[in-house]
Amino acid sequence: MNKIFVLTNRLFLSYFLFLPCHVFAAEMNYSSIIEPVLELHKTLIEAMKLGESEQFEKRVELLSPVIKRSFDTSLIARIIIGRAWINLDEAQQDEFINLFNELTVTTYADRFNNYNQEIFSTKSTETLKNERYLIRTELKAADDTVALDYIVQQTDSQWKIVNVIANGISDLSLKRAEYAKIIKVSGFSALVNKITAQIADIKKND
Amino acid sequence: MISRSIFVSIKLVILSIVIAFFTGCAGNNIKQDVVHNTDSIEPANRLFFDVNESLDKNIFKPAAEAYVSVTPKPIRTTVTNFFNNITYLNVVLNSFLQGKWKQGIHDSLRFFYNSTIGIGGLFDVSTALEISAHDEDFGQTLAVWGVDQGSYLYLPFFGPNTVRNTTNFVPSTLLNPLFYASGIVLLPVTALNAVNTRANLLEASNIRDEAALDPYVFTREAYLQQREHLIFDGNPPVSKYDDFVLETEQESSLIIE
Repeated sequence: MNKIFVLTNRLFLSYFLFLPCHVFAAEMNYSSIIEPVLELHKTLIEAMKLGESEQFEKRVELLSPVIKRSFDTSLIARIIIGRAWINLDEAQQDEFINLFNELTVTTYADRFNNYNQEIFSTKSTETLKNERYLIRTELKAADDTVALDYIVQQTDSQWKIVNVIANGISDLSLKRAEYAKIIKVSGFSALVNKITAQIADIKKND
Repeated sequence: MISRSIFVSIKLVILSIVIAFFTGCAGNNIKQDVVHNTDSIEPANRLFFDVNESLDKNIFKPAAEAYVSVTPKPIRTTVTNFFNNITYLNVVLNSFLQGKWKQGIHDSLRFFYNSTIGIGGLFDVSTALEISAHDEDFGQTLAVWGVDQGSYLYLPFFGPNTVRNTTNFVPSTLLNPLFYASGIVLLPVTALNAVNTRANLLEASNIRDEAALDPYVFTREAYLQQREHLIFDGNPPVSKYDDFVLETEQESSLIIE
């Protein structure tokens, strides 16, 4: 009886000794999963604080390395081009990845150009297939709240964003549908020309 | 006249709630719509899209911009409050039809407070009382009941729609007290509603114009995704966000093999 009591005690003791390690590991994992989103949000607030159009280049400078680190642009490019991706040679694929990265940076620099006490907050994290996660966040402005959800996955042991969903509208899905149509009707070169012109327009208007 | 029409509208809501209750229609079998390959009449849709875009560029957008430039924001907010409230009975009805009883009661209270204390809906007192607004319509109700969305439609004047969602025209018209008002009142009020609605969409349409490479496809995809977001009250199944990534992974593994 006494032996059983000692054994049970030991089991409890070892459970409580190891429990903080498990919890700590889970917390470490969670913080690394949401890290790209938190870094992006922090930088977007800084970009907004930089002010309006005259600071466009500075906002690009600030956002560029963070977006490169936070987004898995090569996977995103492959997803939005869809089945046409395998028909592109390596040079075309690299060109498109760089172009798409530039589009992402200029779009963020263009939209987040004015600070009005906006606040980002992380709401929850949900598990998806193949060790991907959905991070639910919110952007609160003075007169509106936007639900911003991110899908993150690990690439080369770094957690990266692969999709942004604003109020239920997936950026990946929108672009994939649009780009597929342009490639089908006018070809890949036409898509590249349109994106190049779009980037030039954004820069011109800022 | 208006008070009689509100009475008629309320009677219609109550009748519909009773029908919904006894037929047990308010189920919970929402089907996730297939967002793609639903544009079976794309050439006709694109034609109407071009017509609407042209009308918007030449008439509605300039009118909305002029309206914004001469109308102070508090007045525009009051106008928006009025039209939101006068069309809110449709939200009340559809909350009940979807079996969201608690939400339906909140929506009824919201309509009552805004119509009375809020002076015919001019002031949104309910939000201040923490009775928040919901966005429900008969298209969403049919989705909750398990009806397929059908083909995507781009309608002249009304814009993006689906076959399922066009059914909303009936209850939203019958439950709008303005429908029972005379033509002399109706015409200028409808025009004000159209201009005010367009003014509220100026920022969104400017973003679309800047972001879209194919504005027709962009509008269609954004509309269909937004509808699904509303049907699931902002919580659609998370798997749908993941499908493209999964698909690409599978394609890549096939290529490697």
